[in-house]
Order: sequence, then structure tokens, then C-alpha cells
Amino acid sequence: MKGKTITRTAAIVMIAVVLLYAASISLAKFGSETPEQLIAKLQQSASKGDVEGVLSGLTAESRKAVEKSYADREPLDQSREEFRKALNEHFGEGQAFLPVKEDDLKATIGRLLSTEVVSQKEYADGSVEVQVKTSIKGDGDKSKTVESTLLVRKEEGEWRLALGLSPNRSDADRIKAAIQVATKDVRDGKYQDRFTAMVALDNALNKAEGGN
Amino acid sequence: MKTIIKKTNAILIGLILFALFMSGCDKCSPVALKTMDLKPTATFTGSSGTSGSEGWCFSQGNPPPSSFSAGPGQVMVGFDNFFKPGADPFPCNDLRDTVFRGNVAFDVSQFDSVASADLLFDTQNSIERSNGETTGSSPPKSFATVFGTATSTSTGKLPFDNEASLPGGQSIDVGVSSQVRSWVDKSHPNHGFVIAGPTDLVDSSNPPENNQAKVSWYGNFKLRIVYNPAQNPHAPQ
Repeated sequence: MKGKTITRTAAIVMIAVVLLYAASISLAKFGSETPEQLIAKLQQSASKGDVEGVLSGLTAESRKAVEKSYADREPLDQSREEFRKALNEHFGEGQAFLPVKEDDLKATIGRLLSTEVVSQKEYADGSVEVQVKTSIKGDGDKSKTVESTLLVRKEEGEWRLALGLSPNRSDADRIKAAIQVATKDVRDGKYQDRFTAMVALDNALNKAEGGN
Repeated sequence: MKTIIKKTNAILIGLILFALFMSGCDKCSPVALKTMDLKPTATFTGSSGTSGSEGWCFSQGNPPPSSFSAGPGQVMVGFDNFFKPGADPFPCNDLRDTVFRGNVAFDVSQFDSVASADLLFDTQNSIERSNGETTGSSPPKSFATVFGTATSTSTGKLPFDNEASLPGGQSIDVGVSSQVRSWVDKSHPNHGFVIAGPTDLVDSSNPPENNQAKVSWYGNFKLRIVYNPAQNPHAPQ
């Protein structure tokens, strides 16, 4: 009886190990052996709305930047609302405002309709520049085809897309800090009217962004 | 005989004068028109545009939110753009392009017909941003260039028709008789006026790539209606 139980337990453990191994292979690898495969798989994931699939095709640095940009949105919106609330408390209730509807990541990736690799150029460091013809969905039924230059490189043994994000990209913490200072100034009565406070905030943001 | 002719002439002249008096009565007697200023039943600002990066960039980016909002009784009209270029060879540009349009609604249900209507309002503030600096103008500039009748108020895009050009200046007065008549006779749904410009809505497939802004704040809205009380029994007599 005891021997049978041990055999059954061993079988279950073995099956579990095999399943876990299979799962780990599929999770760890986006499975792109060539730049073309990477572009095709990114496109497939995008059209399926598979956010994780798209993110796993990015370099670690790019993935981190994309995830952070979406995670930062809510605190930024909150600080803007705090500023508006302070204006309303201090200078009277402002009029209703219909805000811009922003896409989430799933909607953003869903805008990639089709892709076609046009050419490739390999650099000395092993990264590859890929020219891709892409059809992007616009407003309503509109779409446009653009030719983009993408940079892909090998990371952890597979090809991944490196996004060309600006090194001095807008920093949510810096923006939030500027809005928080302006909000405090409004509450402390630094400004004589709503308009002056808004212009002051805008110039603080211009400064925080390097004023271009 | 002479007396009869004289009497006949006198009657004839009398009849002619009576006929003339009666026929001219409608046109000659003054119709007492009334003027009434209506206050808005609703005012709000719609914003629309595009934000983040495009295509393969996937990223939302963190463009700073627009600093501007409308105060009590105000609407905001204009645009506010943000642009920061990405890095070569595959630049992911961060951008936020916002267009503001104002909506001002009036209740004209008490009227059955109007002689004329004018929309009056003031330009109360304005800003411009260029070369990284935002400045307010004194006197304020009116950047709105057109107005029309709203066809929907369910989105920040505030679509409109019956477009007409809007004069500039601090005190704005535009004739809106045909628009108000279309609300009164119900040939057009009354969603109010839309004030827009100086740019059209953002084309997300070709968004502006600059850091400029031009915004005007408008307030003190009045719809001045001239009407005949006899034809408008529900309006103040």
C-alpha cells in the first residue's frame, strides 16, 4: 500500500516537473532567432492585444521605461487634479472640463495593423537596424503606412527591440514635484488670481522640461 | 346740384382717406419689440488631441499635463502642444497635443419666434508659449477664430456645424439670429454654441511637433434676444 502511494506521488512529481519545465521554456523565451522573427512576433502579439507578449520582446531597459510610463500616469493625473482643486478652492469653482481620453498600453499596441521588414543593416556591436514598413491605425477608420527604423539587439540569447527613448525624457517625479510646489503656492495664497497661478505652473513645467 | 357734387366729393375724399389710413395701419403702428439677455445654462471646455509616442514606440511617455483650466463661468479655447524628440536612429518622440474648444448653451424654449439674436462675451485672459516661456497678454488676445452650433457634447472634440467666423477683440458681439431660429423652430437640436480655433482638431496621424500654446479664456456670456411679445406668449410680456 505504502509502495503504491510512493509510486503515485513520484509520478505526480515527475509530471509536475515536466509541466513546469515546459512552462518555463515558453515563459522565458519570446523565441526570436532572427530580427524578422522578432518583428513578426511583436506584430502578432500586438494584434492579439497580448501586452505581456509585446513587453517580452523589448530589451530590459525599454520594457522598464514603457512600464514606468504607464505606471506614472495615475500619480501625474492625481497631482494635476490636486492643482485644479486648489485653484477651485481658492479662486472659485472652475467650469466642467472634458479631458483627453488616453489609450492604455493594450489600445496603443492595437494600433499596429501590419508590418513588413524592408531591409536590415548590421552594426559592429552586433545590433541590427531594421527598416520596417508599418501600417498604423489612426482616428476612426483612418490608417497610415510609415517606414520606421528599428534597432534590435540580442539580449539573453534572443533578439529584442530597443526603443529610441530620449535620455532626457520627461521625468514624472520632476513634473509631479513642480505641480506640487505650484499647488502649495496656490494654497499659501501666493497668487492673486487663477490665471497668474496657471501661468506660473506652466513656466515651472517649461523649466523642468528644459524649456524648448 | 352743386351741393350734391360737393357732398359726393367730400364723402369720396373721406373714404379715400379712411382707406389709406386703414391700409397703412399695420405698417405704421409701431410693434413694441422687447430685448432680453439670457445667461448660459451650461458652459464647459472640451479638450481633445493626442498624447504619448506613436507606432512602434508603444510608450505612453510622460509629457507634463496641460497647466490650464477654465475658471468660473469661463471657457477656454486654443491649443497647448508639448514635444520632446527621441533618440536616433529610431526616435520615440514624446508629445502631447491638446485642442480646447468652448461650449456655451442657452435655454431658448420660452420663445416661439425671434426678431434677432446676438451672442456677446468678453475675452478675459490669454497666454502664448514660445521659446520655452509662457506669457499672459495685456490686453488679452482672442485666439478663437470660428464659432458654430454644437452637434454633440458627448466628447471633448465638440463637433459643430453652421460655422461662421468670429471677430477678435475684447468685447465680442456676433449675430446669431439664424442659429437661434433653428433652435426655436427645432430644425437643429440645441446643444449650444461651440467656440473654436485658431487650429483645427489634432490629426493623430500627423500631429504638431512643437512646444507652442495659444489659449484664450472667454466669459460674461449673454445671448441677447429681440422678440415680439405678441408672438411669444411664454416670454416676458
